[in-house]
Amino acid sequence: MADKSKEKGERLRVGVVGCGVIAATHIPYIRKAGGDLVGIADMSLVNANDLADRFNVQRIYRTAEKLIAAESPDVVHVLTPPHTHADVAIAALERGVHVLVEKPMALEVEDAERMVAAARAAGRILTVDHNRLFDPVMLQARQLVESGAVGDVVAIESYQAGSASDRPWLAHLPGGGLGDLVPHPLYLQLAFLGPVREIQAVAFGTVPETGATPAELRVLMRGDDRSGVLTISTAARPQLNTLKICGTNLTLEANMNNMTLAKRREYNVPKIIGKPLPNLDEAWQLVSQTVRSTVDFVRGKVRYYPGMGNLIDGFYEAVRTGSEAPVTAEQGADVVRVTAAIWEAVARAADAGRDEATTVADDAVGEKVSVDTEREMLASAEG
Amino acid sequence: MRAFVTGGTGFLGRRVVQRLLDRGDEVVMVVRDAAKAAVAAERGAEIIECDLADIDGALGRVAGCDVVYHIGARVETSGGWDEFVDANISATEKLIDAADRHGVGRFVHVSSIGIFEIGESGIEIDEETPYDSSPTLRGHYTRSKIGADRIACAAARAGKPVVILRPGQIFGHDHPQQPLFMGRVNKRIGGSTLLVVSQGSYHPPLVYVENAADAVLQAGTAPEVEGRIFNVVDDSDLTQDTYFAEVGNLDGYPSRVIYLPVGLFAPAVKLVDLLFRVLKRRPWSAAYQLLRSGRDARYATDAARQELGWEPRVPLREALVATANAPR
Repeated sequence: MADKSKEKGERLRVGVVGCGVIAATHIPYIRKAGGDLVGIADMSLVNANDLADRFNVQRIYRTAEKLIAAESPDVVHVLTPPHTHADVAIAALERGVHVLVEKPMALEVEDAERMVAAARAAGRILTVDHNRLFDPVMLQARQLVESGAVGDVVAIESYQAGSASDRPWLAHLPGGGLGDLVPHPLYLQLAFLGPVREIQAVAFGTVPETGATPAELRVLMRGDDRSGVLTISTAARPQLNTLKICGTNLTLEANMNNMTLAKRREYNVPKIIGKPLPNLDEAWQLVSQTVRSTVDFVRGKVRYYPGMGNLIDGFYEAVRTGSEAPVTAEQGADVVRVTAAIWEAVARAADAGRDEATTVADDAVGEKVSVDTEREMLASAEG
Repeated sequence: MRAFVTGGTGFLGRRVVQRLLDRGDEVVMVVRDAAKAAVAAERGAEIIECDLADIDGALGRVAGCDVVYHIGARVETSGGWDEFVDANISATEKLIDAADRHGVGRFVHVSSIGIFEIGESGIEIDEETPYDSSPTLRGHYTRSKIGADRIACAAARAGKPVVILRPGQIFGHDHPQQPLFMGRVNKRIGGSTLLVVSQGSYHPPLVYVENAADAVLQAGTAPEVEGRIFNVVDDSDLTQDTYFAEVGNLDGYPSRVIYLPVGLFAPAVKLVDLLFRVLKRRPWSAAYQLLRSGRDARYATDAARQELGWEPRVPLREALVATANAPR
């Protein structure tokens, strides 16, 4: 059975539940972090066997219960579709097993809260795979914020352009395929934004190839003394995934795809140099970091989803020593709460839009109004 | 007793069916080619003509059976991986589920002894030995037998009444390729000399087909063996030297053997493998298989003898004589 007094570095017995695509990313990191993969489970044993072939796993199971009963793992990774996370994770926690659950932790706020309560009652760790928080560029950005180098954070902007995938379980997600793109930028936002006091959001458009809706999402969030803007676009190209953190001293822009972090600061120099200097500085940062990360990738020092490796390391360390989990269950639940609030705000905006449509004939006016509101919001957040 | 049998027209399966009919059991058979089951049909066996890959329509017929003998598998050397998944892996999962659904009291899964990891020469293999760590380098058939074995073991661990048999290399006069199983890369040179890629002290895991059929039947009826796994080899201590000495006593078979250790080829094989990895960015599966075959392993069968009460009824000499002298 799982126990809290594992020595530092001691190997852990690990089970994986859910043998879909993400499991293949977890397994190398599980082993690197000192986990012995004792069994994997999937409703389809054929899927489980396929993964077992690729990663030399001896034992497969159809359910988490059977895996836990037979193998007594210290830890399970719950990598099943999101709507099933709560039941699987709670069952594991109740059997004394520590749990890492893929994002999003749950779809319903109630489920997330049940999961938090189950972890607390069992005295076991429940962590959520908010892996981007632990990508090297984000660790660096967080360090710059925490050390005060950035100054007071004023605004956070996430921009994600990419294709929504079309796995069958996405139908369970609010926002469908687009909804699947929300968690990563959202938990990054919340790490800098703090508690969210107000949300406005619009969602619109249809993905031409699949007919899925919505295709676009814009969210404006106000925290206590800062605001966040989140853009998700399935139409805009190139595919891009950036996070901008605007502080009173520095503005940081992290490119999560290319693994670069650009710092912009003010220069007290004559205007003739002050104009080109920031661009040259940023260009140099991007070139040097790109060269370094490319070399690391080619040499195999960095893999895809590097943050996942760091998160799993931290989680296992927490299991062994009782230190705090890299992502707490409560933080996971916060993301579920804000996600639910975003889709509520989308519904409110759609209702309001229908009411307005009867009074405002010209669409352009409507757009202008909403942009103005956004500016006002930002202004009030800054003030 | 009523038995549901897959592979009932195959090398091992047709003997199992004969014995079941001999002792008066009712038999339902899934066969790919009904013509091959004509004899069994005459004796009253019910024939379902379908491929293992399309087993769905036959699953309902599991109802009312006392034992499922899952002996069949796609053994072709050709075909894509998907075809092996459907016939050997998915079908096993479906059949075990159907047996469970219909409350069948015993499911005998015939696996293979080729599924194991042989990391170094001289190891002792028992039922707990891990699967080969690189199934994708073992060829579709063996890879799919590993998959089917994993699924059967999963069911066994989940408390289903599954018994897993892992027979060694089965020989007998009507074996489709090599009645005497003298090895794949062995060559007869001249009239009386055999060139064998192996070593005299190695342990060929042979089992005579009639003895293997005994084990299958016992797995269907022995009490309290649900969830157990049994390796089935006639003589764990048989060596190549002893085997070929017996073969040499047979009329018309070579009496002299020259052994070529696989180690002789290892440097060249490893070099080609390295070229594969560099040029094609993947290992050369033939290299993996050849190097594996160059390692000796002794297969323990204590579990089958103690728990199933199985003993090879036909001794080696008798089995070889029957194999070599039978009309082909």
